[in-house]
Amino acid sequence: MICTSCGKNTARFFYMEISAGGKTISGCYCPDCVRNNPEIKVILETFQQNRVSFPQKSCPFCGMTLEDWKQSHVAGCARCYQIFRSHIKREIKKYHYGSFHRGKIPYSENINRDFVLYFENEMRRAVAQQDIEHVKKIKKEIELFIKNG
Amino acid sequence: MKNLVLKEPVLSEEPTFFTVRLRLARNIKKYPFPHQMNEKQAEQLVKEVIDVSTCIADETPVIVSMTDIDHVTRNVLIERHIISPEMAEHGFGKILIWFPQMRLRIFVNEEDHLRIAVYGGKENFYNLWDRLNHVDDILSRHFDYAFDREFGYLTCCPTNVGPALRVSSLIYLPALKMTGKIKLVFGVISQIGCIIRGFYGEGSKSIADVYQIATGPALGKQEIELCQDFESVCRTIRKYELMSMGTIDRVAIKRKIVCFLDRIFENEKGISSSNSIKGLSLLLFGKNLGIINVDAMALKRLFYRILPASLQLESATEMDAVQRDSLRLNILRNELRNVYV
Repeated sequence: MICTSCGKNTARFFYMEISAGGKTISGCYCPDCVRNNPEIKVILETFQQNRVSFPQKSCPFCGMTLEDWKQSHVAGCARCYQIFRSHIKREIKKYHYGSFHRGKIPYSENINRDFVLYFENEMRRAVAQQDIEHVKKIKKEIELFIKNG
Repeated sequence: MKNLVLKEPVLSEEPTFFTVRLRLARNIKKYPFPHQMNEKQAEQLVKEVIDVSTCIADETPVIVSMTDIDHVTRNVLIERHIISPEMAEHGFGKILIWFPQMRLRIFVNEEDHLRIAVYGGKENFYNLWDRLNHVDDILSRHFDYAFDREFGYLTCCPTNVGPALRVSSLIYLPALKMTGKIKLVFGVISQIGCIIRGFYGEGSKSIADVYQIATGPALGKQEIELCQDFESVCRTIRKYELMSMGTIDRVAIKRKIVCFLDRIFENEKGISSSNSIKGLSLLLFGKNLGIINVDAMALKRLFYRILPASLQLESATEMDAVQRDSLRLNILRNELRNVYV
């Protein structure tokens, strides 16, 4: 489509104005004409002045922001793993074959080791029997277990 | 300290192995990770770790602060694989707590708050893990570790989460390199999830066919499984190296050894560290092939002795490259005078 203003270049922007009486005025413009149009220029400038930026998600303990994480891919503290969990989890999935810790558990964690073993065995059995419903059920249970302890 | 450093590293008697090491990464919940810590927090952590370290063993640990040592000592520590190049970089609160008899080192404020490493020559990975686990248990009673039920031990870099255990070994593979099979073997190893690095770890190049092989990201694996898998990998590599040795042209190797020894005893005024390492690697290969009769352990020790910073620490003087080359040549002449081909 050709620009309605200069009639030369290909149009990239489409404009529609609905007046109070319900009349519509429409047109299509090429980038050059948009840049040179004084009315559009004013609108863009007003938009730039009133631009709102929401506060960035950041860790309350170390102050690391989501932007910092995206640039460095290095966590600032243990709490960052909670704050940016979904982002970090995506990164972890890229590098690790497994998705759930099966190794030793520190003394400070009062975790029921048998419970983890129970989940592991149940999941293995369900996968072997190709029982998708049961797998989903165990997955929900694991999520609840992680959430509530 | 000097004598202690010059005895390192603890070398394996196995022909294809130099060193073996197991390392755990641990962080403490109440502090931000080292790169986000301020000086006061770093010093507080150092104080706490030193206090707790008295409970680990009966022996008094050697405590080395990275800011208190000169650049020669720092380079020797890197050359002899006592610390990583990252540990030597500028930063506050970086200390090494070293138990030489127990063969245990704790690095404070490296990439993670604590990096606990055990190393050995003869021991198998299971025994090393047993020792490391024991130390970790003691420390975990004193510190509230950063731990997540899904991700395991939380580390600064998410690639290390899970058991946060890295099993590594310096492996000497000249026959595989010469026959060109090394690419195939390394390809298979990386498919299994192991990482192949150079002589000084991440980002470094291989020196004289010595490679560092380590376990990679390990979330979802148990520590024992990791050790077992790594031991199997090492055995497989060793088997392939020995198989490749059978296809090597012994006469050509013998000729190269003679050429190197001629250079040592007749021609040169001095020898660079890279040339001497290449020559020593050749001698070690000759020993493994049964061409020459020489003490393999002494050769391996000589590998480290002739490195630039080690030479300067041993002679207790700072030297330029020409002086080092000359001293290195004298040492090699002295050590290799009884080698006959």
